[in-house]
Amino acid sequence: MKSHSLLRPVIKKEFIQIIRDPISLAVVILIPIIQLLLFGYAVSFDIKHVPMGIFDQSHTQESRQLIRAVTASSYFLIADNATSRTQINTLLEKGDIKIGVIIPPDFADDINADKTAGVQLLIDGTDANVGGVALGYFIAAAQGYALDITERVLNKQGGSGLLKNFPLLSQRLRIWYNQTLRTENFIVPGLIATILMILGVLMTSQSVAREYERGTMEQLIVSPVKVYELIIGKLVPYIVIGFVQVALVTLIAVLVFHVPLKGSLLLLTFTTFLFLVSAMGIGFLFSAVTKSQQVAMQMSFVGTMLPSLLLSGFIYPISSMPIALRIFSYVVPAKYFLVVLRGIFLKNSSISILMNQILIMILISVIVLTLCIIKTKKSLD
Amino acid sequence: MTQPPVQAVNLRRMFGDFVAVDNITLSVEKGEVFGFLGPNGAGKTTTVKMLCGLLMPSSGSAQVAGFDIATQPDDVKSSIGYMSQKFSLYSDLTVSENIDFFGNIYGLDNSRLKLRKEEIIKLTGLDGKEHVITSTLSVGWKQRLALGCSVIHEPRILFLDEPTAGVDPDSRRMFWDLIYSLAQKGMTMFVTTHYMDEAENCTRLGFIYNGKMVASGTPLEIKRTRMTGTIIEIDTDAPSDALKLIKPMESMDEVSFFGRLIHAVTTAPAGTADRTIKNIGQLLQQNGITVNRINTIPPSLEDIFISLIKQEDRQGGHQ
Repeated sequence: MKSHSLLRPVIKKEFIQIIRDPISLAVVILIPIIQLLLFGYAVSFDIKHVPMGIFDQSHTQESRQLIRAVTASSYFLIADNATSRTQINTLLEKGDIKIGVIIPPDFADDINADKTAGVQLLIDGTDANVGGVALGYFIAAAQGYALDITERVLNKQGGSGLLKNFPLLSQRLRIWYNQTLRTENFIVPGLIATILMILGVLMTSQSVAREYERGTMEQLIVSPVKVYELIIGKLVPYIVIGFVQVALVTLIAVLVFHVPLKGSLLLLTFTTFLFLVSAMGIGFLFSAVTKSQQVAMQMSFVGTMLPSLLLSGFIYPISSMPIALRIFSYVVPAKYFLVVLRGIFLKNSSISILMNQILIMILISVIVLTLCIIKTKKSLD
Repeated sequence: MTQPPVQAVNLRRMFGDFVAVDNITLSVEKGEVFGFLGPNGAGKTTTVKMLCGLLMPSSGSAQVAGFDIATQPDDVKSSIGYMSQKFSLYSDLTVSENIDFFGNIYGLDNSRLKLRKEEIIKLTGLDGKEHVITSTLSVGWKQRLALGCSVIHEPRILFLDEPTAGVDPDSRRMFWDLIYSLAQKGMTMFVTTHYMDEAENCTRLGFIYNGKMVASGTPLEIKRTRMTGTIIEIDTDAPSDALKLIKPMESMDEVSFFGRLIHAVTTAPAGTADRTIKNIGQLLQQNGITVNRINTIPPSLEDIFISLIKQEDRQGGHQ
């Protein structure tokens, strides 16, 4: 009776049970794909083609230049050329446009008189994200135009080349790792971590809770199977499924969303393993505590979905959270896997760069698995 | 010479301040069908869990299959079989896969597993059902399969925790036949149940109440020695009115319903039962209750246990 020989039957039995239920297996494999496709396309913090309405009262070369400067990028799309201020208001109210631009009649005159020219912007603030970003884009575009005018004015005043010597602050931006600032590159690794976290916890917690509900857990604990063999034996099949999920969503990330996979596949495999162990260990622990599929499922959703979405840094930066939430976020493995995934996908980060995350995931795994052993041993008291 | 398969001395288990099992001493001989009886919450399952090496005793000691439950729980686990009232099988596996799995986790090698599997299929009568998914079996079949799985490794002792709860009488009968055939082969059976009629099936009994062993011995011994009074069975048209009348009578120990009948236990000395019967008959007739039948009966185990519980409650001083 060698201990490793008792691990095998537990794994084998688990696999038979998984295969016996092909629908659940298909769901578990397809869900991450569907979720990634849905969220990957839907969740985008980029704004493009924001519908814009313009009421140009100036009708001058200058006003047209401003409009051209703003619409040269693909951020704004002129949805309507309004003929009155009320029309702009109506369009905003109906939601046909998100941003209204009103150029006063004396716009060109002011510029030519070297006075400050004003433009009125009306922004639909109901979608604060789009509104804020649109405002930023507009100001940037308008300032570009303003700089052109400044140069022209200076030239006109006879000081050609004056601007060259003028100590203007010039920014030279270089964006690293995600040069195009594509949201997909940022979102997709986050989605992968979140989806896998939720499913990993859910799958194992259901499988273990079922053993408690049907009394088979009791039977296993009475048998010579050691508790650690039981836990490892239960986790191994789900870790295999987890790897299949990761492989599929990685393919989709690269092929469908064109997220660059710059880093090492070996490192990705290793870190995925750590993440799956910690996530599925948590699933095991949930069901060892609740011993009921239903409660374990609710716990999995509340305990992983919300923290992984909200506290992992996927959507909201952790640094801007209140301290209590920040502390709670430390125990969410998705938080670390997210950093690891973004690092491996976008930065080709080395193992030494990701060492902190790796060590923390190992620590979480060890703690969680130890708690599983303690809880399972005590579970018959 | 050899130690009995199950031997417990002053076994005690506390949960906080609550004494779940209170100094239980018992021993079960090889090939016996030991019935461990008691109402729900009496401490049956806690005792069984301690004997299976799942729960540490707070004090006292026990040897099961020659191993100490506190210091050698792993040896205990591999020498015993355990079947819970839930018939813990994997319902999504086939009959054959269930047997294989339990055989494997008890460390049977392939050739022995093959042999044992055939034996178990034959023993349980599951021939031809090997590849049936377990969830489609009837309760009686599942129960027999669970029993088969729990003895796959030929344990010296089989613990059965309420094995017949929720099973129809026919299946129960067949199940008990299985238990006897295993006992005849020398396997020791430790059965907990709260079905009193099943107690008569056991070769020896232990009766536990409030964590204490209240009585033990063969069914016959218990009937002979533990019944202090005489039982009078009364069949009337108005049992509830009759009960109210009989209860306050002198020398009445315990009066309770037994189905539609009334069982009155009198503490009057032996030989005076006839007088008591006459008194009861008169009392009921005076109150206009028709008595169909009234006579003494030999005590059933259930009568004895009810009376033991009452005695215990009185000594406990409350409830």
